[in-house]
Amino acid sequence: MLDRELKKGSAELLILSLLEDQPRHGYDLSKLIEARSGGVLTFRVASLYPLLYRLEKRGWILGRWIEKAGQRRRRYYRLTPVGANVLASQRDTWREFVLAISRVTGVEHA
Amino acid sequence: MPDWRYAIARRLEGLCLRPTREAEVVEELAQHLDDRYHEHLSAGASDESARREALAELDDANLVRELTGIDRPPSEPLALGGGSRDHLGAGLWQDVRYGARLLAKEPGAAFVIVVTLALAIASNAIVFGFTDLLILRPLPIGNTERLVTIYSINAQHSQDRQAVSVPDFLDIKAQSASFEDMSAMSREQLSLTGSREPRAIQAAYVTASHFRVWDVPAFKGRTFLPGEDQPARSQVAVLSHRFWTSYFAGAESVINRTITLNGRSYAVVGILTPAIEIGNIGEMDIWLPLEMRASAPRDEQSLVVFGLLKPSATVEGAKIELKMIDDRLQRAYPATNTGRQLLALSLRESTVGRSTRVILAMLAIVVGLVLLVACANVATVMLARASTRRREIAVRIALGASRARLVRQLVAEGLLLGLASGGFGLLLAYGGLMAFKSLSMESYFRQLAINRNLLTFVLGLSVIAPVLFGVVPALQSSRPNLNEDLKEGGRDAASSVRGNRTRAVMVVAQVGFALAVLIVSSLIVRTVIALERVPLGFTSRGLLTVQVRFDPPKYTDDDARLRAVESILDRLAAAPGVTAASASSGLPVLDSEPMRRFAVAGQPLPQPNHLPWAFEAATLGDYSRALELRMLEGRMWRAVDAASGWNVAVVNREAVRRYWPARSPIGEHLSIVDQAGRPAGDAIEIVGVVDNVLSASVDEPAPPRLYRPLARRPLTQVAFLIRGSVEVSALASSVREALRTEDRELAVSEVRTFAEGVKRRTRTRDLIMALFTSFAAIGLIVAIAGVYGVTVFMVSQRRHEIGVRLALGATAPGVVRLIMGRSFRLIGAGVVVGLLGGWAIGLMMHSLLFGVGAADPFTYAFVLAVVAAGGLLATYLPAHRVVSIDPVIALKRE
Repeated sequence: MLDRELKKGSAELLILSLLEDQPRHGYDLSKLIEARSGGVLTFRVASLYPLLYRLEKRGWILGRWIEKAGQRRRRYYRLTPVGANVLASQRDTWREFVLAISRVTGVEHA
Repeated sequence: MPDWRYAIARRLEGLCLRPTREAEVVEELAQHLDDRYHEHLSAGASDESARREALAELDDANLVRELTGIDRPPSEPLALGGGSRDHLGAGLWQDVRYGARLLAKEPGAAFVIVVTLALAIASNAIVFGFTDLLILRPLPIGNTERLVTIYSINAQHSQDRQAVSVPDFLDIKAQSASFEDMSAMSREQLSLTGSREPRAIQAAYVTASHFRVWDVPAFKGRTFLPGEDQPARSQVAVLSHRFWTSYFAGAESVINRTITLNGRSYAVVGILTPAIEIGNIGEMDIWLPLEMRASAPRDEQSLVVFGLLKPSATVEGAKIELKMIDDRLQRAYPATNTGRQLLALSLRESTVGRSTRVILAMLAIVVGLVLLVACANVATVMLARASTRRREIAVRIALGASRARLVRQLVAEGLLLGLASGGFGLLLAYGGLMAFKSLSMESYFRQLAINRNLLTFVLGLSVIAPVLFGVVPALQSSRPNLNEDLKEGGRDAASSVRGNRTRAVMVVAQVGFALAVLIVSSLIVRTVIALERVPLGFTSRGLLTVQVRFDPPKYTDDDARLRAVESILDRLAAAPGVTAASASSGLPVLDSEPMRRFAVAGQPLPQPNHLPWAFEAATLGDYSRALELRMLEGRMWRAVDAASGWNVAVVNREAVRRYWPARSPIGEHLSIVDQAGRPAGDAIEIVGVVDNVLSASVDEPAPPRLYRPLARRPLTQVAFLIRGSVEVSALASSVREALRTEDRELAVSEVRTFAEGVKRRTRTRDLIMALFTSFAAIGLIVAIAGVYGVTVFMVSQRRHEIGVRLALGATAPGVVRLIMGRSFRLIGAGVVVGLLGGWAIGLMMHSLLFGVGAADPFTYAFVLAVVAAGGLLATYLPAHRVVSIDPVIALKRE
C-alpha cells in the first residue's frame, strides 16, 4: 500500500481519469481503482464519497440519479468540461513530477 | 439483506445536512455497502463477516470531517419544492401551474379576488387615464416650455381668467422685455356662405405671429406670414384639419380657393396640423388673421394672449414684469383697468386649472383607497386560504421544501391572480373611459385612450398589488409550527393570535377606507345636487332657446338686424302655443356677460375704483314674462322709449340693494362712465326693477345687473327665449317654422330647452359625480365582501367551539350575538378610522364643496347607516347559518 499522503494527492487525478470515458457510480469507481492498481490502491466509503462530493461541489464532476430498467436508481458521476480541463493540466503536472522523481532517484521507466 | 441506513444516518448526524441532501447521501452510501456486502458474500464470507466488513468501510475517523461542507451541491430541482436557493427562478413556471390548479379548485375565492381587484384596478386606470390626458401627456405645441398664457383677472368682481383688451395687449407687447414674441387670439362665430346652405362656423382670429409663437406647423400649405394681420393682406385663411376633412372632404384643391365668410372672401392658404385639435382649440373650424385697431375700447376684453418667453426669461420674472405693467395700466386707465390684474400662467397651468387638479387629486385619493380596500380584502382571502393550507405547507416543509420556495409559490399564485385582475380591469377601464368619452360634451376628453402609459400603469398595479396582498399571508404561513400543523385536526390557524390580529387589522382598514371613500363621494354628490338645485332666479322649466346669427352680407347694419329681430319676435309671438317670446344678448346663467361701470345721478362721483358696476344684458320683447322673472317694480321697455333713444334701463334687486339702498330707483338716472372714469353718453332712466338672476358662477350670490333695450345696439348674435302653453316639442317646431319663414338663409342653432343647455354645460360635472359615486359603490361592495369573508372564515374555524356551546345549552341568538359582537367591534374601530380619514379629506377639498360642509352631519349619518347596514348583513348571514346546523354535525365534522 502506498503512503497515505501520496494517495490523497493523486486520488483526484485517479477519479477524474476514470470518469473521462464514461459516467460511473461510486462502487464502480472503487472496484476499478482496486482492480487496475492490482489491489495496491483501495478506497473505502469513508474516503471515496467525501472526495466525490468535494469534486462535485467544485464543479469538476456532476452526479445524477439514473434509473435503469429493473434496477434501483444509482448516482452516476460524469466529468464536466471544467473537470476535463483540470484533468488535462493535472496529468501534465503528474507527468513532470514523475519524470523529476525518476531523474532524482535514478529509477528508470519500465 | 441488512438495512444500512440507520448506521449511516447515525454517522451523519453531526453534519446537520438538509433533509433532502441527507436522504441522498444515505441512499448512495447504502447502495455501496450493499454492493460490498454482496461482494463479500459471493467471495464465500459468512453473512456476519460480510456485514462487518461492509460496515467497516464507514469507520473512518475522518468521515465526518471529510463530509463537512459537502452540502448544497448543484442538484436537480425536487418536485416537492426543495430546490436550490441559488436558482429561485428555476421552477417558477411549475409554481404558476401549481397555483393555477389550486385556484381552479377553489373558483369561489379566485372569483372574489379577481372581481374585487379588477374593479379597483379599473377605477385606478380610469383616473390614471384622466391624469395622463390632462397632466402627463405632452401638449401638441412645440414651445410648451417657454409659452405662457396671459389673462386678466378682477379679484373685486371675482372674475377669473378674463380675456385682455386690444389696447392692453398692445401696451403689454410694447412694454415687456421678458418675451421674445407675443400672439393673441379671439374667437367668433361666422356664417360661411357659398354654393351650399349657409353654415355657422367657429373662427379663431390670431395675430400673424401666432403659429410661430406656438410652434405649430401646417399640415398642408402654410400658416400665416408676417404682416398678414395688416388690413391690406389679411384676406387669407387656414383651415383646421377637422373642418377640412369634414366640410371639404380632405380635397387638396381647396388650397388657393376662395371662401366667403360673412360676405368677405378669403383665400385658403393652408391646413393646420390635426395634432393641435385638443380642448377648445379642437372646436375651431378656421383660423383668420386678427386685425388689431389700437383704438378698440379698453373695456372690450376679447383676446387670449400668449407670450413666448426669451430663453433667458422665467415665468416668475414675467409675472413680476406683468405686475409692473398692470400697475401702470391701472394708473393710466382707472375707469377700465381698476382692479384688473394680469395673470401669467404656464401653458400647463392654463390648460388644467386648479379645481381640475383638486378634482384629480380627490379622484386619485378615492381610487387609491378603493385599491387598498381591495388589497386588504384579497389579503384576507389569501390569509384564510393560507391558514386552511397550513397542513399542506407543513407537509411540504417536512419533505424538504425551502421557505423561500414556499413564499415564491404563494407569490406566484398572487401574481397569477393579479395579472388576471389586471386584464379584466383593463377591459372595465376601457369601457369606462369610452363611455365617459362619448357622454362628455367636452372636446378635451375626445383624446381619452388606452395608451402605453396606461398599459404600463395597469401592469404595474397588477404586479404590485399581489405583492402587497400576497406577501403578508406568505410570510405568515411560511413560519409554521410543524408539530401542531401536522397533527390531525389541528386548528392552529383559528387559535393563532397572530393570524387573528392580522385579520382584525384588515377588517378595520377595509371598513375605514371604504367609509372615507363614501364620505368623500357623498360630499361631492351633495355638492352637485346643491348646485343643480340652486334657484336661478327665473323658471327654467319649459323655456326654449335658440341662437340666431345676423351676419353680412344680408345684415350689415344695426337697422337691418333690428328689423329682423323685431320681425322674428312678432312671428314667434303669433306662432301657435307661444305665450311669450323675447330676444336677448345672451342666455341667462349660461352665457357670459359684459360688465359696465356707471355713475348714479345726484350722487358725488366716487373714485374710479369705487364706481358702481353691473353685468349688462340687452333684451327685447317680453323678457320678464318669457323667463317668468319677477318684475318687482316698474316695467320693461315700451315703444315710446324709442323716442328717448332707448335711454332706459331695468336694474335687479341686488343693484338696488347696493346702489339705491332703502329707496325706489324708479325715475332715477345713471350714466355709463368712459375709460377715464367720467360719465359719458346720455343719462339713462331706470324704469323697472326685477328679481335677481344668478351669473354663470352659480355658486356665488347673484351679481348686480343692468338690463338695457336690445334695440339700442342690435348684436350679430341674438338668443331667442320662448315660453309656451303647449308641449315643448310642438313649441320647438313652431319656433323653427317662424325662423324659416323669416329668412331661410339664417344661421340658426338647434332649438333646445334651457334645461338641455344646462345639461350640456354640466355634463362633465355630472360624469365626475358619477365617477365618484361608482368608486364609492365599488369601495363599499369590496369592503362588505371583505367583512363577509372574514366572518365566514372565523365562523368556520370556530365551528367546533360553536357546536360545543350549542350542545352545552347556549341559545342560537346568543351565539349569533357572540359572533356578531366580535365583528362589530372591528367594524366600530374601522368606522372611527374612516370618519377621521373622511373628515380630513373633506377639509382638504372644502374649496370644491358647495351647499355642504366638510363635517356635514347628514352625510355622516347617511354613510354610517349604509356601512352599518352592510356590516350587519355581512356578519349576520354567516352567523345565522352556523347556528342553524345541528351541533352534532358540527362536532362530528372535526
